[in-house]
Amino acid sequence: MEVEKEESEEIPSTSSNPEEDPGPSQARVETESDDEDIEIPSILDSITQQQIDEFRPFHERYFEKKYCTRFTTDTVNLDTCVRIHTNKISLIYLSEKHSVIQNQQRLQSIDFQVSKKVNRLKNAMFGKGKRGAQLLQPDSILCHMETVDGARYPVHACVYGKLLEINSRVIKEPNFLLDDLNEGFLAIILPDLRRHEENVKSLKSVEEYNT
Amino acid sequence: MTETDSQDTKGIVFNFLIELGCCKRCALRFVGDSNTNYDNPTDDVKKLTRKDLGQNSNDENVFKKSKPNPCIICLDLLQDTTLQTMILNPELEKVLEYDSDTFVNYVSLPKAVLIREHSMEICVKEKFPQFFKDRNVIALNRAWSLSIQNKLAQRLEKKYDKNSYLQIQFNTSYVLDKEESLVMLLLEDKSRKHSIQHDPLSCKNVTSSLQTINSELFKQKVSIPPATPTKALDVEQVFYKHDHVFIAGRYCKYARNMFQTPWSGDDIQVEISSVQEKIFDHIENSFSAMVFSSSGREDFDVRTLGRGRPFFIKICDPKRTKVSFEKFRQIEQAVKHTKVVEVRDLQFIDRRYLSNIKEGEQFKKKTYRALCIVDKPENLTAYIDKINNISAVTLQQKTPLRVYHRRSSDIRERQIYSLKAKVINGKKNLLELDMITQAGTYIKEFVHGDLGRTTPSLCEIVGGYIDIIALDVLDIHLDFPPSINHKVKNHQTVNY
Repeated sequence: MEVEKEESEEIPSTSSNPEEDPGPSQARVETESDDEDIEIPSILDSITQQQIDEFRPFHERYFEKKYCTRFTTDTVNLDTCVRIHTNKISLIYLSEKHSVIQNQQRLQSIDFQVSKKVNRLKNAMFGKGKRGAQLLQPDSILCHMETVDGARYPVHACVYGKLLEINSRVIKEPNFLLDDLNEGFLAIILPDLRRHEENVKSLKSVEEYNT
Repeated sequence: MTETDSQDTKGIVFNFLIELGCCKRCALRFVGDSNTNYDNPTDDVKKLTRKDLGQNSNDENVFKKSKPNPCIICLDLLQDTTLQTMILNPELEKVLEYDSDTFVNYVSLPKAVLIREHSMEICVKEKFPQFFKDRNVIALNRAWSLSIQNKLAQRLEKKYDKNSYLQIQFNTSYVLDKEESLVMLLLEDKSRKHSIQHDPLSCKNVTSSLQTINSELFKQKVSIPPATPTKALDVEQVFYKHDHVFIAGRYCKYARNMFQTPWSGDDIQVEISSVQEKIFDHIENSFSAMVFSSSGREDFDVRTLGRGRPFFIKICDPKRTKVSFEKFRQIEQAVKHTKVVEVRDLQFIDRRYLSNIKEGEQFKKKTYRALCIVDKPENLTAYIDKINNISAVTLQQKTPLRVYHRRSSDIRERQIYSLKAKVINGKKNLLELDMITQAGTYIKEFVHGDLGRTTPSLCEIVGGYIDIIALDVLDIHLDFPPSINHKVKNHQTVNY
């Protein structure tokens, strides 16, 4: 950059006299600046028709859908759907093939006290690293669903990770878990990054699940 | 006291100091006034030795008869030879590379010198109490600076200015420094012990100790006047740097696939450019390291329009500091040519105004425009009416899923101050939504609801499914930096 000899705008020297230096906000020259001429380009023109046509709703947009079938037996289908965000955070849902849904049962309540000491609703954590969060393994139980006719179904975590949250809408209304398979997730899990690949391998893709 | 008397006494004190072993400049420090020429003290010395009882009118002999030992106070810091060594330091060549017109110089003093000075002060005040009653001794640093300033200015082709941003630090050392300053440990004022942290022998601590130390105690441990030294101090390295300068402005981002700053993760291609890089490309060249800072930032896929987002760039140790009004405008034009980024209001800014920008990040309102898609086109007008009937909304936002992996779990309350929706000609399932929101609001989550974790969401408000296809930031309500009026050419920085 050449050194300009004329009309140099040099660094302002530290002026200890406050009157000389009123500071930006007071001396601003408003209306004569170019502000009013600033053009705002159209937002519609900034995207393509293809993008509009291919637009998918939120629960599909950032998530890869997978299924966990390892806890299903011959007598009961306990399949869950695991939606994995691009940032690897995993949401656990019931699968559409789950017995409770297939049999059109209704839930009376959900029990989150999964053992004597562990209650999934009492999950406290601190900081970005979510320290203190309940640790989960694939066979850890997130909750027991209790149907109106007295049946009890466990829901498993399916992945290694930390429990972040139970869906507050499901806590309020258990049947939301059955009624809305897009927004009715049960839990949010922060996967153990060291075992993430293992997690993903153990789950079935949509094609595999539906053949 | 008449002036001649005073001149007499000055001569007496001066010669007293010379006899003890002080160099001429040190002696002048004790008797001189504001007219004393430390750079070339020959005349001042002449005046003071004229009334000397000594027979020699030749000044040089006055100093020949003084011992070959170094000055008992400054250890020869203020001697011509030392000053010459400092001036001739080849490192100073590099200082010419800075385009600053001014400089300021500092010197580090060995602790022993500070102790010696203190000792001499006690000595002369006891010997000549009347003379020193209202008289201040010129400090060593100041005398050194005055002695070397002019020659330094010549060498560097710059002017001395005590407020200059270009700082040149000369360093000295003394082999017997540790030994001579150990005495400070013995003189430690017990009551101040707790306030002297870490190293009681650090320069700072020695200075402050000397200010408060009891003279009687001092006299017990340190010789008054200072003992004759056998070694002079040594000249060490010289360091120089220009204080950080700051350039502020506002940027607009027109691309929907650009980061603000270079991506540092490991799983994304580094080919995607950033706003920072686009701006830096056109600013730098001879500037040194630059650091980019802004009032918040937008997502990768979000544009920033209107007058843009305030930012500033810290330039470390700049060699080029003269950038004209026209040059800034040229930089703005060059950046505009990239088509993806634009900057405006580029200017130098004093560091004291920078806190505005970071405060703004938390408290200032933002204006957004969102392009939204609805599930059922037949409900479009109904949705628009519902939105326009709302004046303001208070949101409870749980940490959005998309950032949940790197943010703590929290519920944030945020305000939407206004909402306005309208149809888009020719599009049955789209609407355009303008909003003014509180800083820190997650807009995308407000629209689609983040699976119920932001409430109320726009979906709840319209009673259907509405999602956001594109988002633009229209304004950040922060007046920083001052806007540049292009019609006014001779922009005065100081009085902006």
